[in-house]
Amino acid sequence: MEFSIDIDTGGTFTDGFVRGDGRIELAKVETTPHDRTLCFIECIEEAARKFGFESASQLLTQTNTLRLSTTIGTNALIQASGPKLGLLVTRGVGENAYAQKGTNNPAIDFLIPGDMIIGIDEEVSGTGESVRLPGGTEVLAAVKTLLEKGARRIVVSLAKAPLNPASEKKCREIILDDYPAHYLGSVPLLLSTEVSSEVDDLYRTNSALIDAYIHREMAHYLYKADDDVRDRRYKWPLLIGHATGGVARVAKTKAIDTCDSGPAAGLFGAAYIARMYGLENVVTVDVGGTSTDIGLVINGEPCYTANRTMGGVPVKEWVIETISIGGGGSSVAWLDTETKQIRVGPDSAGAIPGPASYGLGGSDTTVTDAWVTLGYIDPDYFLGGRRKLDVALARDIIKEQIADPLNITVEQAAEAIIKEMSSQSAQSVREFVSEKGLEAENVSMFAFGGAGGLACPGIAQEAGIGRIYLFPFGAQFCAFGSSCTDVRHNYSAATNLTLTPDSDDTTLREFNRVTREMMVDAVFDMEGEGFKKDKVSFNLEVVMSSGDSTTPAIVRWTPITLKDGAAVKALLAQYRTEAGSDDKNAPVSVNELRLQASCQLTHPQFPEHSAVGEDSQKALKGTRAARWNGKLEDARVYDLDKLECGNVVKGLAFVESADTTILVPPGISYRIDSRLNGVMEEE
Amino acid sequence: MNQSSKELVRGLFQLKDIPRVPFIPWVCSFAAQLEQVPVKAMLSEAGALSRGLINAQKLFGYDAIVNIFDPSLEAEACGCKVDWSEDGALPRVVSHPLGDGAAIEDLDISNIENQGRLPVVIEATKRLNIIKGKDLAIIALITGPLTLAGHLRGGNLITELNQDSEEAMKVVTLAGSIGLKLCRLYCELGVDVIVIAEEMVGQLHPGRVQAALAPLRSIWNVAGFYNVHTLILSRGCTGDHTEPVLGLQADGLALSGEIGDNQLRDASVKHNKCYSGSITESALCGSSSETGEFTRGLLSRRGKGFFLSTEWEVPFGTSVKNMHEVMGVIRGNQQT
Repeated sequence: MEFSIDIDTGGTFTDGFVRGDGRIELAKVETTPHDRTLCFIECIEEAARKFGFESASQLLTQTNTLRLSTTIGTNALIQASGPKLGLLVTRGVGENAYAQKGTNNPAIDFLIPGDMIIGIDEEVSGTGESVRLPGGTEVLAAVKTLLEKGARRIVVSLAKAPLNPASEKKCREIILDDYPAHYLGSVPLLLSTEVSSEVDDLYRTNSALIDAYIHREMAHYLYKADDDVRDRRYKWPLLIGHATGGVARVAKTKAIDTCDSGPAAGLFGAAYIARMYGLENVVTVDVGGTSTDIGLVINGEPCYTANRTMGGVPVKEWVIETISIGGGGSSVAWLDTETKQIRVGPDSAGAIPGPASYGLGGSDTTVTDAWVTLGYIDPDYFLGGRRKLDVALARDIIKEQIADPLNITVEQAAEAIIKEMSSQSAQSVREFVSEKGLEAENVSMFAFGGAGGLACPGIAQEAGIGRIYLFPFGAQFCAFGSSCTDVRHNYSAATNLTLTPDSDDTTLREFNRVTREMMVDAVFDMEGEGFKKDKVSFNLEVVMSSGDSTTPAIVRWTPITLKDGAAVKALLAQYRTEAGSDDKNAPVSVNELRLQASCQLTHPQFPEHSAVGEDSQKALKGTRAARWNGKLEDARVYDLDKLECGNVVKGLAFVESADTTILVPPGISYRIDSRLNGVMEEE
Repeated sequence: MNQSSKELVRGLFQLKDIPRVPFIPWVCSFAAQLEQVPVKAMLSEAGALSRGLINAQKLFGYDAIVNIFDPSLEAEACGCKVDWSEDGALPRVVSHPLGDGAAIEDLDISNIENQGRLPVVIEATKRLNIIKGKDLAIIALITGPLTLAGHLRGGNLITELNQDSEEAMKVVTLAGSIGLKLCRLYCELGVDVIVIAEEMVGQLHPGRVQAALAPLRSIWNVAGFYNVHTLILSRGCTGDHTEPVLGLQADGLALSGEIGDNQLRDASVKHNKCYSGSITESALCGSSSETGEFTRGLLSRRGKGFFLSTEWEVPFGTSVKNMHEVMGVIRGNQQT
């Protein structure tokens, strides 16, 4: 038997999605913040038990793929728990971490104190020639000063370094000469061009600072996780999730790549399912306790973005795009005293004190309080019964803060809160979708997260989305998404090429030289991962701009190299389509070449089942009084785990499991499809 | 710059001028109530214990986390049987090896840190320090030698001690050596304060306090070596116990019983010790206005080195509202 294990370590829970023996088992354990390798192993142990093994070792000896995605890097940033950094920059332009005059770089005094940045004398021309290399005495004096001030890691980020990294490499040579790596006093050193080829000095510097800041914690954690599974007889490399949607072994992973890799994996999983169903456009809505995150899949591919902030620090890293739109179960509902309108969020009661119904002294009305008041949540079965909710407290707080001031009943207030939450989230979903040039009506929704099943029917209805997919592994969706990823390495190189329809051979040769160098590196790295050369597939993206464009366009160039003049013309034509440019003869700059190399791993298969019929009586648990559109209804309650292929649940009903509750509104049917996922649409 | 709670508590023990009164309640089984888990479940698993204690602190925002409050912990590790039958209550010691015929030499305490639930508490303390130790004071609580000796021997230990019984004192010395071992262990885990919880002080004749609690001296010495502060916690004391307890030379004391607030304040200030104003169980379990009033009264009579605490463990079943009320009074006091 061969198994595949995917683990997603979040802030509160660590989820597992494990395949093998013809089935899928899910695991969920609490995250152990003092040592996240503990919950990683505990999650594998729980999955092993579900497969009938006595220990994690028994499962791991038969496992050939083990992937881990984690928020630890993001947490290290948020908690500011990194080491003290020192930064060497180009004198005269970099002392404020390359912020433009009159602006600030948020990295200063967060990742690095202002007095830990020292300028050195060096110069690279605008076309990439090395005008002046840094001097040994000056570099060593600067490093000595930084070390005396307590620097534990030195970052070198020199202006225009991607065009010519000679000055940065010279710094390394000088520093290693005086602080050789085999001495205890060696200085951990990072060159900005090793982390990013971004031409903008500020963004590249920020990426390097973030990488250096979280490196120690990530390296300690990931190598310990790797050791822990090797001790338990796992013999393949542990693969680490990247925010780009790929995975790579620990030794081939940059710390910054791991930030937000969990949500990215979730969207990658959504793309996998969208392809399986042949869905063109899908919006993903992940509703948790404190936030709702959305993402988009178009034509079976997740949407990417280069502009993002990490811990408030702007970077340009090409990653899968997910955005937070606020609004989770703990979001606070409040009354705008001027307009007398109910609003939801952005404040959250968090997990502690949480909603008033938690009984921990929470003094704000929350969405969960409204749900429990309306009967949508069973107060004795919240989180599978792990926390009992106090309905009276929920009603009291809604009465005091919303109902009485508006002179309406508690139930009317609770319904208004849910409606407002749906309306606000739907507005965000519509805006996000239309930014990508899509209409909400032509999009399907994938709902997941613990509160996805309760919140999404209302959001979809308000947004005009007709079909919602819900998944039995919805509460472990990011771990599932990880199981859909492949080993992937990204390479990029800044270039200074100009293409015209008449470009000469020299330009073509330079384009091909840079591309082939990256391919050689990629094959070398993939062989290091245990893959043969013929298993590696490539994608090339060309970042291009012309005089009339304000932002560069990214062109996916399938042939990878430029064979001849006809290929140049084809690439330019593709650029014009992407950039919306008409000028066929305008010279186009090639700013950057990005190569993506990937090797495929096994992915989950969802065999098709035969329908046993629409009757869902076997899964019926009972009924519960719930309020819908001002009326008290007798809603049927079903056990999610007992629903079978073809079963249909009609609203008003609730489908419950230990991890989630799904609301099926009146007039809507919830059908278990041939792949055992739930599809909700109008009857 | 704002002081962290950890700096505040350390400043308190160093009798520095600190910007506000720290609040250090003895929270343990109450955390299980908040987490909606049985006390036994929380006290038997390091993850549950550390998580419960952290979440309780996060909920109310007090200034230190105490790693455990369970007078049966060390006794169970020494071989006493405990009874968990009462819902929501700490376990109760129901057998006494030395009273049942065993000799002191028969008790194997060489490996005590691995016995009973001590490994759970040690692991939880380690976790608390890693997760919260940067900003919050972590307090390790050790059952006092008299209480532990009482559990081991059973019978009326205090009467024997008041009669200067050599046999009884041997058991107290043994209990003290267990406390010493745990003190070293907790100090090495990086805690900020060692608290000796000794419920039986009030039953001793004031004149016998120094002799009966002589083993504490070694504990203070070890804590001092690690730059860890010390505090003695007791209830049911009288005014006559104040001076003898101060004479034990801990860095601070949290005494309650028939002791006037002003007397405790004046004596502590005279001896350069920090001291607590203790919210009594009846005040904590009354109406929230009573809790608030009691707290305000304590704060109004404070002197140098004062901190706010609870008389004993915050009982399971305490109203969440009342704890929030105490925090509200403290915050209001800080603003004024």
